[in-house]
Amino acid sequence: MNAIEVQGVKKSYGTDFSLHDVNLTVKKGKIFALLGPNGAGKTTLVKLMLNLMHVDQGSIKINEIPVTQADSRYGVAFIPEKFNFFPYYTVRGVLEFFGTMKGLSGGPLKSQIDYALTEFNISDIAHRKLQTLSKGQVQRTGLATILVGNNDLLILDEPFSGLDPIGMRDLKDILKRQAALGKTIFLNSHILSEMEMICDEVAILNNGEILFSDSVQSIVEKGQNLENFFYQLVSNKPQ
Amino acid sequence: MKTIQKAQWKAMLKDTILKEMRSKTLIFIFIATTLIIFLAHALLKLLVQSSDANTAMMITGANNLSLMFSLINFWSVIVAGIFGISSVRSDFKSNIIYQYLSFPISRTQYMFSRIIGTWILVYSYYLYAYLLSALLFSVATNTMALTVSHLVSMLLMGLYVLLVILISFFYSMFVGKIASFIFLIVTVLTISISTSNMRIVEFADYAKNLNIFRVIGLIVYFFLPRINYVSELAGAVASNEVIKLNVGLETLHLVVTTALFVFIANWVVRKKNF
Repeated sequence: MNAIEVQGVKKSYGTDFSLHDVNLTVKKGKIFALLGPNGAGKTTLVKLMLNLMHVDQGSIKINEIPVTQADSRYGVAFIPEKFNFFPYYTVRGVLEFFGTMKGLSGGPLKSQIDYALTEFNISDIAHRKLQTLSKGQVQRTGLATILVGNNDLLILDEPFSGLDPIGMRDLKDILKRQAALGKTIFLNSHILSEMEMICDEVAILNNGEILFSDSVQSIVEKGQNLENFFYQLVSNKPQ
Repeated sequence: MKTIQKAQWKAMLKDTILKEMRSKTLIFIFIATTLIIFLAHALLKLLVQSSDANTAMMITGANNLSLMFSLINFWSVIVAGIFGISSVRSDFKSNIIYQYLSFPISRTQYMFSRIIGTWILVYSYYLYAYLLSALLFSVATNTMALTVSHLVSMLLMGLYVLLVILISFFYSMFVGKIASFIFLIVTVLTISISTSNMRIVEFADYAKNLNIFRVIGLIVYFFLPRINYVSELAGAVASNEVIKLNVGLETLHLVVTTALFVFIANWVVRKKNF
């Protein structure tokens, strides 16, 4: 079963095309990375997947439900590149709000919040307001929201940005643990070295077109690393 | 599923109210309103005490209270506009809107939870100002200022405040805070002017002397909710005046045009790219 199915998606901004006939499939339980240079159309595709924007042509399904239906977002967690929320919320308050919006309450909500706080090592700041936290702590709070709400698809836009080396390592470990639990992880990132280490599959998007979509293993089997492969493909230059 | 939706509504309404309650503008408006009401009534008390019996009776007349309530009504519309606009614009700021719309709720639910949450807050402010004013007026004049008519008027103003928030919300989806506020004021004034002009024209004379202003007036008169009808009705009820309007026809028009406006607003919100 596929977690995400993108079929023949076209999206333009006025006369400029952002995405041309994009087809993409993300299998359940995999760690998948969407890679591409700036302006490739990665954020547009993520916005389309969350129904923040509407496709001009084609269709997108999440867990076999068209994204135009709100039900498609049950079990989907999204964290933007720079997590931002109202500063008067406490860390626990943010997690409670996100959990409630995902349909949790009572004991399950509390236990998932405690789990998320522990996983991201932010239990000691649980009662502090966002306005009193550092950027890194706010980002960790945002990342912790993905563990609240029985989510089985985690969509993370540039998740490593704003994290210190410890935070990056923690996040990688957490994502691997979540994947081991059968959750699908969709990453949108520039940091190729990190992606090569944790991803099962990658897609490379450039100028709104998917240039490559396959397993990381298939790249390794060609005797290349992800960075060189990406560079050759996107810049169209041999190494 | 129904339990989940109920919890989502509750969380979104609470979130909207909490967000606006922390606004410095609201805190300032709340304090300023309280001070102005206390000051006005201290002056009233002073006037009553230092006047002879006839003058005191004039001062304590119902019209003075109605004047105060008219001021509160007018001010509440401004407050409704400010917070109706802010309820969405603050979500756009720093892209927090993405978080809300990535939850498993429809855009319609998002729209109505923001509108209703803002209405609860603004209407609470309105009730506070109205009731405080009535209480102080009663104390200053040794009379019972609040009547059943005032309570009915307060309910009608609740509907008026809701309509103003709806229009503010609509504009704030497209333009910034200041532009939305200007559009809101222009809309309210245009509806008011067209209504007062078109009401005195016979149906058969609508097509006579057509010019651009007349055409705009006719479009506004027929297709936009005549929100000033609600405030006029509230004012007439509060001051026990005879209602000269065709209440049945005006209410029917208001219901139909408001439903049409809500339908269009909802369609626009659902189609918008964020």
